[in-house]
Amino acid sequence: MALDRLTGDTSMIFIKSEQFFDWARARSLWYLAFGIACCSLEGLIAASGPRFDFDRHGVFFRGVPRQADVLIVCGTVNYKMADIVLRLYEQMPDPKWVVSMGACSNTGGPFREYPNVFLGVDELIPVDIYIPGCPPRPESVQYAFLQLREKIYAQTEERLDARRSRD
Amino acid sequence: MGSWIKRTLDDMYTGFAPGLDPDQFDGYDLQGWLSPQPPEGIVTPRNLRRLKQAPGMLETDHFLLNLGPSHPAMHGALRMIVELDGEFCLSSEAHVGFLHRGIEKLAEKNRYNAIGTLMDRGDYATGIMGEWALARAVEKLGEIEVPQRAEWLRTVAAEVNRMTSHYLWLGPLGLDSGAMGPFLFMMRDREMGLEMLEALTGSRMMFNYVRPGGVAFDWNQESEDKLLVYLENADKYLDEHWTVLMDSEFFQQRVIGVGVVPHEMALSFAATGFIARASGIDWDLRRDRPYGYYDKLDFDVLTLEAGDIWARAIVRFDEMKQSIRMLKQLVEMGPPPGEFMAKLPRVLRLPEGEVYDCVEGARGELGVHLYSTGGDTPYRMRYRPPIQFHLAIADTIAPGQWLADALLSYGSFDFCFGEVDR
Repeated sequence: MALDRLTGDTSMIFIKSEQFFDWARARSLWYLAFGIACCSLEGLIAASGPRFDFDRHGVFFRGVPRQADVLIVCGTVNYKMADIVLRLYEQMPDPKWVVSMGACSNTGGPFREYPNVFLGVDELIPVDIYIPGCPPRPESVQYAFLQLREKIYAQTEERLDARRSRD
Repeated sequence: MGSWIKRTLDDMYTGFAPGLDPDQFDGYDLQGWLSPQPPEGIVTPRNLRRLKQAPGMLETDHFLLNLGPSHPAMHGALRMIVELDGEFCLSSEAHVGFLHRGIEKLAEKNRYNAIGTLMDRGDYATGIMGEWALARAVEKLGEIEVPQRAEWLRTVAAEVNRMTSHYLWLGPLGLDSGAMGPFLFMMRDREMGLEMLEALTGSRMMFNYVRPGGVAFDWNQESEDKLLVYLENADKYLDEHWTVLMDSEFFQQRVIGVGVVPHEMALSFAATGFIARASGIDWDLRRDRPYGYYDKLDFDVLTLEAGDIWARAIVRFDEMKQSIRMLKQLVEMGPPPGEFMAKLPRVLRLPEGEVYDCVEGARGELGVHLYSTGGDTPYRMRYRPPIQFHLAIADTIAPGQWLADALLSYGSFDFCFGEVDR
């Protein structure tokens, strides 16, 4: 938004408009359909299936990073894949969030002893939500999205705090 | 074909040899990483560099398209670099290794009981099959007698898992050919199968259920109820899938005569499983080398000659019907009395020797080759993934097709990249 450049990022009009945009963003978190490994069956395929149906939370898959808000890193990231993950993250437009799904992308998981595996995708890109499990159940992924929604709402409070501290 | 296996072999050994100059390396860079120290920053994929350096490649009017690993039509972490003339596919080169995480290497330092967890993550769509292949290899080498009850439980779990895996293939095949609805129908049925497996094994995907010597948990009432509910509905649901997807003229026009694997190619590329049966090779390990409870079951194996995607879909559809038939027979027999786990020492030690054993996985012959020097860990474990062989076929048949058909034929091989890259 160019509004912050016009009015400054602690102006009330900017905070209120961002609050509105955050409300809209939190209710349409589109994730990138990028399956790396086993977790993609739970986090992407079962999630878009009829039982768990993430669509009712406004969470839906997109094939193209340009249209996506959330990158679910679902699987082991090795040095060969790291380039791809980083490039996809950079292709996504701001604001963007990263959900690290499963033990592999959190810490390296069962494969952390193998030398070409990243010990957590947070060495590579900033991560907002970590989901434990190998693999996590789709319910956990749903809970992660609800937590992500809370996190997005909290941005307004942060901005208001910054304004209060300025005053 | 041989080059594929050589590539993985090169990889397995050069990746761990210190002091190798990456620029001098002529093998296939499966790991994207060759020095003992992790590189600083991010490694540029060498595969792309090699293509850019290829003389004459970019001077023509042909168009190089990089499909994947992030591509909506790619199933898993596969990069296909196709050379296009218009929309006509001139050549195709598969680049694997985006999911290489050293399952075979890590198996060398895990005890025999613990390798099953790695096998689960290898063939992640059908965990039971990988575990079963490993368990059979260990049992063959250690001459362990498996109780009949365990064999019955393994067969039930494997057949349900085969069905869930087939749903996971047929639904996305519909998605690739433009049918969104059938995918949702099949995911609904897959959840029912997974519910039954969860009641039996405690997990939806990574079962760790089949252990050397038997299974982890006994048959229980909840899983029996779930299985009965599943079987009650399964036939009806299969008819529904036939109506929704297979009987649709649009789907048939899209798949009949597309992605043909000729009989000779299937033979010479070591195709197994549904690819072989759709190309006229009458071979099913469940029938021809019976293991588990399959010799007591009555089932048919469908073989078709056409070799196109339609034939594969029919073969797999029939496999699902046969799975339901087998499960009904198994439920009728009931679990045989006795133990579900053989009496084994806590730390399993195998004698010296070499053994290969395999099962009919959902995608083909899934085998495990163990080399033991005595002790509680294998000296070397080799995992025979059927998909790696099928990937070589997919690579070969893609040239000469339209791009949309080539994508459909890649999808029809049911790739599972935990298995290919290991």
